[in-house]
Amino acid sequence: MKSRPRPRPLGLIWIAFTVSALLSRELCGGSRDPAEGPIGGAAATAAGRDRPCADAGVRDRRIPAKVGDWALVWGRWEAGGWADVLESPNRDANRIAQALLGDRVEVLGQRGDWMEVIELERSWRGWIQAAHLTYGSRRVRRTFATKPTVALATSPYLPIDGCGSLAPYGAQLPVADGSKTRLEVQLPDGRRLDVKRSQVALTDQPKSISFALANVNGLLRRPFQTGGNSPAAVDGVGLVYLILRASGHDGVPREPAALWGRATPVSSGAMEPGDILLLDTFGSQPPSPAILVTDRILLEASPASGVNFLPLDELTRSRLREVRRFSGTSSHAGWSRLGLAMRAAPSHERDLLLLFIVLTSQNAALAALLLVACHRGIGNSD
Amino acid sequence: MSRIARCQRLLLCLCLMLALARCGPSDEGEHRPRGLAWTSEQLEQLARTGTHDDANQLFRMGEVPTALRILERIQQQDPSGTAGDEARLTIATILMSQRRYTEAVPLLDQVVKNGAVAPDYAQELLVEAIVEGEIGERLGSAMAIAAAQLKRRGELQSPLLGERFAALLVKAAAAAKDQARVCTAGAQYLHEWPNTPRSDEVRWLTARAFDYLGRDADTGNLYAEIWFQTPESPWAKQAHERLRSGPRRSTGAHPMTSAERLAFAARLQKVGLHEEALDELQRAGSSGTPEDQVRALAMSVDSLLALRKNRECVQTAARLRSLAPGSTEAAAAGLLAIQALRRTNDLEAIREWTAWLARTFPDSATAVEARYSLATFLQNSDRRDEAIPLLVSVSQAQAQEIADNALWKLAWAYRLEGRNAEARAALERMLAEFPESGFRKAALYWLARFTELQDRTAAVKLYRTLLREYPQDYYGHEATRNLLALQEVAEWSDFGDQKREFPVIDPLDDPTRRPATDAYARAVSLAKIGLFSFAADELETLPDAERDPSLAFALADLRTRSGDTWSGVEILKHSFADFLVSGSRDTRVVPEDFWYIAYPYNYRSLIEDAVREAGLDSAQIEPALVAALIRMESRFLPSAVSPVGAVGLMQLMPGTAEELARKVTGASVTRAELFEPEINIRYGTRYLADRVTDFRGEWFPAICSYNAGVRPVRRWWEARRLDMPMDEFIESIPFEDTRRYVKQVLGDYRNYQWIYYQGHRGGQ
Repeated sequence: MKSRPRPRPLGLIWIAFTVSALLSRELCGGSRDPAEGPIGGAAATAAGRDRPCADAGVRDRRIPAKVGDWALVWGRWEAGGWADVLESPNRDANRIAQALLGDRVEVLGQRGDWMEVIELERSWRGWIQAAHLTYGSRRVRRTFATKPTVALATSPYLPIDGCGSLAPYGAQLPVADGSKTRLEVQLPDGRRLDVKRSQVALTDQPKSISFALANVNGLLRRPFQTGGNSPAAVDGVGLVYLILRASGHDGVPREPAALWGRATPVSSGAMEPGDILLLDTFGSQPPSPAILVTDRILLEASPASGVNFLPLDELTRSRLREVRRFSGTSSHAGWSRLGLAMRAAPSHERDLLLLFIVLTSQNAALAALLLVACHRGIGNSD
Repeated sequence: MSRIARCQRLLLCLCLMLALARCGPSDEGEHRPRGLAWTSEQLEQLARTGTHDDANQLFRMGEVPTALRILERIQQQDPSGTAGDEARLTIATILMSQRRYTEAVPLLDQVVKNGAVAPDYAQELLVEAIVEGEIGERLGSAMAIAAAQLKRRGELQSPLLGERFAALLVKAAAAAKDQARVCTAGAQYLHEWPNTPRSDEVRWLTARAFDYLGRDADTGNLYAEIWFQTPESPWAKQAHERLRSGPRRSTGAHPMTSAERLAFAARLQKVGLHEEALDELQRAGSSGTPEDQVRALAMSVDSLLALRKNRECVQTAARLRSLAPGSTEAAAAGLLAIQALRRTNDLEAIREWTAWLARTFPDSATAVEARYSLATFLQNSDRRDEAIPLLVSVSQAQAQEIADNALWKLAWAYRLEGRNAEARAALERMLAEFPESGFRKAALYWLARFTELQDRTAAVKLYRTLLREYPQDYYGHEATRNLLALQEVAEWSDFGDQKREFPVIDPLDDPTRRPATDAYARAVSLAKIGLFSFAADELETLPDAERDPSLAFALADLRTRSGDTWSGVEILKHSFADFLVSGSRDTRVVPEDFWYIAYPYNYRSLIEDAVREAGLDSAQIEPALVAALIRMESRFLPSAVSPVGAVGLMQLMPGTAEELARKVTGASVTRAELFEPEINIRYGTRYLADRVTDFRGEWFPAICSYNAGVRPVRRWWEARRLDMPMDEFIESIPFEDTRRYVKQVLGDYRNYQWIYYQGHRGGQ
């Protein structure tokens, strides 16, 4: 049994928390310019050059993730903030999914440089390189565990600094601070990223798929790759998964049957933009999804063209197996994740979280509910 | 209003109505090829009720199982009548085109026995099936039939049949190992028909028979004839080896002069026999005049470069440079030396040769080409700052073939440097100054891509130009998708040139259409009963066959239907090149059969089965992709062999296939088996599917690796910028051949999709 550090007096922790929060605001404050509008890959890098590269120096050090605890996806910053999730701890293994920057995972085990993880909402499970995970500083963990989350919908990437660090389309990150027009989202490395409210969707109020589609051009001509769901590469299901995430849906399953199970069937005569068309592929292979963009244009990820549009013509109609629609509301509210996060947090941090919830909550009933949830978590964990 | 005015108004109204009737909305389905809309239910219905003509059309579309079902039904319903025999003949030719000779023989026996339909042709097919199928116990009877028919050749249904029986007699005797008969029949054949498509094989078989019987002089003469007169034939290399190794020498052959040797070496170079060419060049150089020596050295540089003997290539070019410094041969050799040096990455030597060419041949096309070669090397080595000024100077040269190349490279150099405005300007200049350039389609496409963010309208216009001018090309297909990104949907009528009229087609349905031409009448009758190869041979004897487009089209059609898809495409390339590039997809403009000839789909069911099998535990690939790959590799010719030894439809290397077979089935596969379409397609498809899996389901790198090998492609793939769009990756492939290959295969994949799968659920 692992020994846990003894909780420190709450008053001291609170003072430390306040000071650190002030310091972090000072260091990571909103002086950065957000990227304007949807941008392509080369443009993203160019825009990134305008951000001060010195920013990279204020990153937190990566703290190794621990087995049995929850951790954050640190991602491959320079490659676009994603990490491969593989079937087994081996570089050549099949890819199941790609974890995006800031994804929260539970670490189930470790073998060498690899960690077996499961996404907190059970979207996917597999092996990820330990170097792409961070335990996170206290402040970061607190923000990720307690704050509402927003989805980035700027494709393909939002530049973070002038050193080429990128936040990918579809990443879901907690809000550290906000105003009417802008938000500061928390990054796993301690920095914050300034984004426009119009470019994000709140995960507890997901928007329609059309919102994410409006900014999807940056993904065009990206390659098709099995198990891909990042702007670097997608497969058919991965594209839908990514667009749903960018629309603010959380807990989106990566596995196709579970994903289609979350959508309701629609008759082909009542199709609307944003609906998912499942198209027959040759032989007995699973159907390939495409997203209806307008009444005559679909978006797909195909092995022949990568991410691309295709016409809703006779050929496409002849392949149509069924139409499915995702509703605008998420079936997973932030509550369940928070409960999991609390359950997975070490005891000294739970005290801090409880205190934080009580002090920051404006609503007594909400605070009470949170407290109940947290206590249940502690009870289960212990 | 006066009466005249009223008449004018009435006339105007009529004209308007007519115009509206022409331009107004009409049933879109009518514009499209009728065969394209066949569903699996319709195919089932056709199998139950279809006619012989329907079967012929289905065979054309690659729907062989349904075609065979129709014909089987007809032949069973009519065991001894004409309709049944016609069906049996067609079934036999289909089976023979799939090398299923043993199954064809009983059907042909029945037709011969009934004797009512095309009796001489039926006998010819029977002998052919026995010989090609190597049915040992029937070879004696095959020889007897062939000999008897040859005797009465003046009475046969066609004068062409005599030659066929004569060739079959030689082949049957060879298969029966009756060497004496091969010698007599072979000598007779070569005496009467020395230059036919079959004479190369007959010459080889006869030479082997003479060799076996120890008749050295005759053997030597024939081997020498094969080697010196037909170095292009598949047996030439073997004949040369036997000529060199054996004691036989041609008694009648006179020694060659050095000029003759040079001419012969040029022929050898043309067919890729460079080692042998070098031998001849060495002899020509050592015994000839100083001019011959210079020419021999210049030609040697060419062969050494082809053999990738780069160091020797440069040394030989240097010898030539010192021997004849001001000669045109030295200039050409200098360019080849630069190419060899580019392979060895010797920048200093490239600079030195470029400077020498500039000094020795100032302002010449050669000097410009050398500068271009140096610039290309610099650009490929990421030294764009040095490459750009050189490319600018080359692009201002007069010679188009270099100037437009330079402009294309210049545009990309600017693009990679982030100088987009200059990149656009280079492409615009190319389009304005070189409207006939081979880079036109690429320039249109990339100008649109570079422009679409700034000027949507201009980009749409450029993409639409591509659709009109190059609808069947890779760039045309990409333009269609890029238009969708700009919210523009291309209609069926947007593809291709709607105004260019297709020549009137000869439907080969009336034997009296061309009076006084028996061959034409025979061709029509033979085509009707599915004997396409014979019909094509007849048509080819007509004096107008090449000049008359309607006959040329009918000939291409017959060749393709008979399984000679290679010739079908070649005829279209020769007589209908414009339609291949920009033909409309509207069947009122370009007939549907044109596309079936241009994009043949033989062995469709074998391909679909192989894709199903490979897809069970592998990546998603589609039959249309495999069809496009086969078209590119062999144009559906099962006997195709490449100079490097790749074999069959999908051009598999025997070693690779062997390795794959052991992995997949635990058994082995021989080179001979790879000529079997079923085996070749199965392993080729599996190999492609494995490459797709290697690259995590993506087709581009898999197609590249089919051409260039896995190792270099993995290197390019892993070194690419992660945000690089796929079309840019394809454009940046370092091997020019592979770049062209992947574009061709991807473009053809889309063509196979719209020709064969539009509205039809493949594999369902």
